[in-house]
Amino acid sequence: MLRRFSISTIAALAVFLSVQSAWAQNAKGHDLTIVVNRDEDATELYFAGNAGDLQRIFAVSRDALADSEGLVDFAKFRDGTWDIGDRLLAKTAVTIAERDAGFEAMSLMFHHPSERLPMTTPMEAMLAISVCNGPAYGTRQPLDTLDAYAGYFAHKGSFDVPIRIQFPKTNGTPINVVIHDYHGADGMVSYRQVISGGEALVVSPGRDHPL
Amino acid sequence: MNSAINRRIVLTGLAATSLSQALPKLTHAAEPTVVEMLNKHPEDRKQNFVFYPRVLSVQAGETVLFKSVDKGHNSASIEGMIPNETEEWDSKLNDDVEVTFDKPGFYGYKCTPHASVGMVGLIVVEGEGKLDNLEAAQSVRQRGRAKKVWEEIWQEAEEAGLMTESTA
Repeated sequence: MLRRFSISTIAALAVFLSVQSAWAQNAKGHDLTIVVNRDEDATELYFAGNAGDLQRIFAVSRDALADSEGLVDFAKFRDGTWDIGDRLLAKTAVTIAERDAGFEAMSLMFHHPSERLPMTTPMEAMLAISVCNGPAYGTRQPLDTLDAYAGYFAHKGSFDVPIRIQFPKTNGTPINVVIHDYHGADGMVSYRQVISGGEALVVSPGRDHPL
Repeated sequence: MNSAINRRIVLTGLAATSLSQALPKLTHAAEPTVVEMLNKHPEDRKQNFVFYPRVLSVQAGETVLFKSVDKGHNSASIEGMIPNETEEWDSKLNDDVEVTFDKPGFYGYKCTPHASVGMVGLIVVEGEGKLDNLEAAQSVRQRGRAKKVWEEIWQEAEEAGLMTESTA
């Protein structure tokens, strides 16, 4: 009786977990969101996703984003978080028109998935990366439970040229990316793309692949 | 201390009353010029995180009030972007701060957590020797979006005629 109960309990738990997992996957739908803001003399790039996914995609250690206990200490963010942002992008090569773009981190911020921020326009992205939008749920949080939002700036225009993002070679796990490519007055194009781990993502202006 | 800058933190409510009573010598009779710390530019809503106005010209001895209209900001001088022998300032987040500028010159400042997203500004203090630190201030390395914003600020200052020696 006890054994039958245990088996049925485990089975029920397994079903519950698989449903939960499927639900979570659907709720997120993709691994990485990218917002591109193109100007004649400058370009902004924003990345957002689960902190653990970003750690995998950008091939950085946990220590690059959190303290030695794997915790994010929001109280230390007062002086800015560009150093964390630089560490996240350190192994990723980004070119504009096939030349090194010299992207520098503007800011990086973590938020709990329950407080997921809009990340479609450059303005939304700018607010999401800002450290003044701090959490109201405590100052030290495990990295794996958080989403990360990072913003980068290059003093190089990209109005009519492709941006190539070469992620580090990883284990080949596909990366499901949603891209919002913003061209100022010309509006924005949004599309979804799947690349394999280590493959370069080329973001071309005006691409006609709507979501 | 041989300082050309006086400052006081302006707190709200009872704290402000206590502080002003405790520090009467630092109170200025004249109304300070206000620089607002904002999440959005009041006229150009596409601009986030700004000091408004971001370029300001004052006479030596004048006081500027950095007013924390929106939360999450502060005002802090940028290393290498203020005249020699002047005291740095660095207010707490969300606090208003008054800074009195006694020495002519160029004073670059930032919101500490938002500097690299371009929340920076310039105070030009008119008077003899104003141009002494201009070159040094312009040569300070900026990062992120601040690079572009500083180019705009220097151009704005030039167009406003602030980059020439003060006339008596």
